Amino acid sequence: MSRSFTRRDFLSGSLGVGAAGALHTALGPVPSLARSGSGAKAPTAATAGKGAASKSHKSTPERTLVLCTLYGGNDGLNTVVPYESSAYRSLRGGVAIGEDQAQPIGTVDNFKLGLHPALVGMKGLWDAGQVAIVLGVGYPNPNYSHFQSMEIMMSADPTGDLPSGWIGRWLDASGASPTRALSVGSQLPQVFAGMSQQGSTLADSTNPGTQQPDGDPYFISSFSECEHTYHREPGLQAAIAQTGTDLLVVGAKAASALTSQKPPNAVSPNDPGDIGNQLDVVAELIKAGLPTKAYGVSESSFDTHAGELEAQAELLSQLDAGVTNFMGAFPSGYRGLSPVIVMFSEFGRRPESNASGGTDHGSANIVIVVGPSVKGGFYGDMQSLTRLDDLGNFRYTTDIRRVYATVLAEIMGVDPKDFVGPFAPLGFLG
Amino acid sequence: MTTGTTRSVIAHLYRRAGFGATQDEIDAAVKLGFDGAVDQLLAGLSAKDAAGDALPLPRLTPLAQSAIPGFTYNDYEEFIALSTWWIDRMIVTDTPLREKLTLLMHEQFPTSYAKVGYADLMYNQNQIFRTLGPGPFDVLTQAVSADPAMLIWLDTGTDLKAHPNENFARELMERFTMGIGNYSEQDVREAARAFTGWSLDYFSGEFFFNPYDHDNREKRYLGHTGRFQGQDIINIATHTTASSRWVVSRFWSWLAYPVTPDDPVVLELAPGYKKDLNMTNLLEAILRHPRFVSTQALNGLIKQPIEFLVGTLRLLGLTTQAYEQGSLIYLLANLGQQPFVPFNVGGWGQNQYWLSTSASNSQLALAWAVAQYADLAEVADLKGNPGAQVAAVTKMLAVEAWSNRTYQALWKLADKGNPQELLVLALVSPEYLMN
Repeated sequence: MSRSFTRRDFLSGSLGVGAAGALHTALGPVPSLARSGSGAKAPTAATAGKGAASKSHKSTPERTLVLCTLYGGNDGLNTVVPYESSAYRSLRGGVAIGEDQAQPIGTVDNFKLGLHPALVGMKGLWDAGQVAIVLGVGYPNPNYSHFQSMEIMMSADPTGDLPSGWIGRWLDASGASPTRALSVGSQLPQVFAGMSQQGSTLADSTNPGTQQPDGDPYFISSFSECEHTYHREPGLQAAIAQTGTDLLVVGAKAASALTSQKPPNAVSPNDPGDIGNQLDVVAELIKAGLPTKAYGVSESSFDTHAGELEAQAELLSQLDAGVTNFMGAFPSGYRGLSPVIVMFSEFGRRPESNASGGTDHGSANIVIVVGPSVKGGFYGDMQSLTRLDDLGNFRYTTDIRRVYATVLAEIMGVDPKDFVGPFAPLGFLG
Repeated sequence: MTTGTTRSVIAHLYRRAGFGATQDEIDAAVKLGFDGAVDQLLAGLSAKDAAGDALPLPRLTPLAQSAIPGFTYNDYEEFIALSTWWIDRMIVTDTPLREKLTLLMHEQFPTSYAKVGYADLMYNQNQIFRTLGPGPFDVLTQAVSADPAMLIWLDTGTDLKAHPNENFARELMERFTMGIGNYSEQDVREAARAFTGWSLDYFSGEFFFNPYDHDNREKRYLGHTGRFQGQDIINIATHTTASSRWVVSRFWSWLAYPVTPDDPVVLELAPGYKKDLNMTNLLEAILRHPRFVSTQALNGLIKQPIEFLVGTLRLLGLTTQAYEQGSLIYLLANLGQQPFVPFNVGGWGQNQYWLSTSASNSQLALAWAVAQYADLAEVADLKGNPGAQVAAVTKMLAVEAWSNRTYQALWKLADKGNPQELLVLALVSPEYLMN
């Protein structure tokens, strides 16, 4: 199954990244602002692990990665909020989360931190010790383009030159199979593209019929014949054929795992693939025991240059519902299955708000990790709110490649340095 | 460098500079020769599109009649009607290069109904692409930038002097005019200051400039200093060398094969474009370039979903009117390319971007849907003669040649299956999906 794709296409065409502008001004229902009790106990802040995985590259087959990409640049500062900080209030002015709205979860480096009020379900998971929050995550020489910063985050290469994704390189090394990594949606994100292997994609629907090619058995066998690449077939044409061949494999596996008789999700331009639907598909596949080690889901429209408070609350509310519902399907120890959701964005937002009630492109951000086998708590160091860089952006404290190293070591069970370089894993997966 | 017969390069020309040609149209164009066919396509950039203009425009509610500031209007029926109107216009047009240019300008200035929320504003922007697209790129960029759809899409209409948002200023440089790496973060901030005071009057539905919200102080931008207004920023950006390379690389990539702004063919064409920024001249330079008919170009692009749908309906003599309202738009959305709904301000990618297992499945679903109203009587009449049936479908789709693999699969299906299945398999064959 070796391929002859030219990966340059991933760079020359803008891959499915970023969402400048897809913020919906239509007012949805205001998420319920149920606040947690004031004295919620916070797990002890864990310190960044050093070299934890180098001693044991154990294979942990029960763990599965669910990579959740928040396109557009989610505002981490308003997601995990230093709600008592006067520096925060002066930077954010009218785009700050109210002190009485944040849900307190603990103190790091003298900052009292609280979750965004829409993250009600995740607050419960935090209290259960199943949420890790990595603070100050970034990379050297931050890039402020949605597209280039997402390429950097997905390739784990701060120069942005590597055309493969960090998971794609793991696919290159782990053998040919189109079901090792599955992303929900019509376009494959760069993170799942390797040099010789790549992940596959699934429809945003739990209806098995939507995952398989339609047609009588004889038609399908003709389709299969038509999608066999031949010797010296031109590169792009061969790539089309290979994708059709992969569809037959992936579609059959996915369809046998899915059970819902729900009709396919209706598409409207204001509902481009709900995060909850995507996570429903992933939950069913994990439960069915597919040999998939990495899944991809995404939510768009986090590019809140204007009207941020309302827009982000709506988006985080959808995310919270999706994640909480998903985790409800995997009570601790459920058949030995332990999915790990890792949520990230291309960048965080500018510390100082603009006059449009929004925030512009920034740098260091948070990564949130959720799952029954996650060691809850804070990782990395809180970025300074006062010692900003020359452009008025945060200085990062924790390299994103440490997050990836943790995942590679503890979920894929491999030596991370072969894929992202020599970065010490953090301890959020024990 | 040129490969293939005159026939095959003319078919290639029509697929790239339009939405493909029927067998009869190719026959006619072969008599003109390649250069004559290019002349004819270019003439369409300034000619009247009688067939396109004759399509009835759906009823679209103007912003001024529907606006409640801060709320989107979201008339989904109007939006679907507009989407199918454009697809049909691409199919029936007498001036295919102009409609192709309109689509490519939508990709150059990706703007989404998902945020803009008014079908009428998307239509107005679409008309700007159609009418100003063939002219100077700076004039087009000025018009698109001050048009209400863009003011909403990238928040320009909310800019205030106090602390402008940078959304439009950044994407203007990164995506619309110059490409990344040719400006600094300071340039983004200075440009954002120049766009303060730009606003949208929701009651008239028009752009207006509010001098009280405008930062009239000096700006330092791309090496220039002055009390720049938004128009100055656009003017400076579109006339840079970087912009000439970016714009040329984009159009070369869409029409021939993907290149970066430092590709030799771009460096060769950019100086000519930079003289007057005239898009008609640039399109001519690309279509007449020897590398436009090179093997690299002939094998260089996969059909985008919109190109697949428009081209196929055209070949089959159909428009969207034959289908349930909105059904084909739904199938395009599943493929990730809904007209008026680019994924984001980066627009859509190329080639590998369109290849994934779920997209392959959606492609098949679209082929089944399209085939249900195809007139296949001629193919059915040839029952019992699989070779003749395959030949009939091949002619219908104006395919030059099949690989042995695909021909075998088609022949066997013709022998056992029905004409509709035969058409569908041809439509999803790797050969047909190439552009």
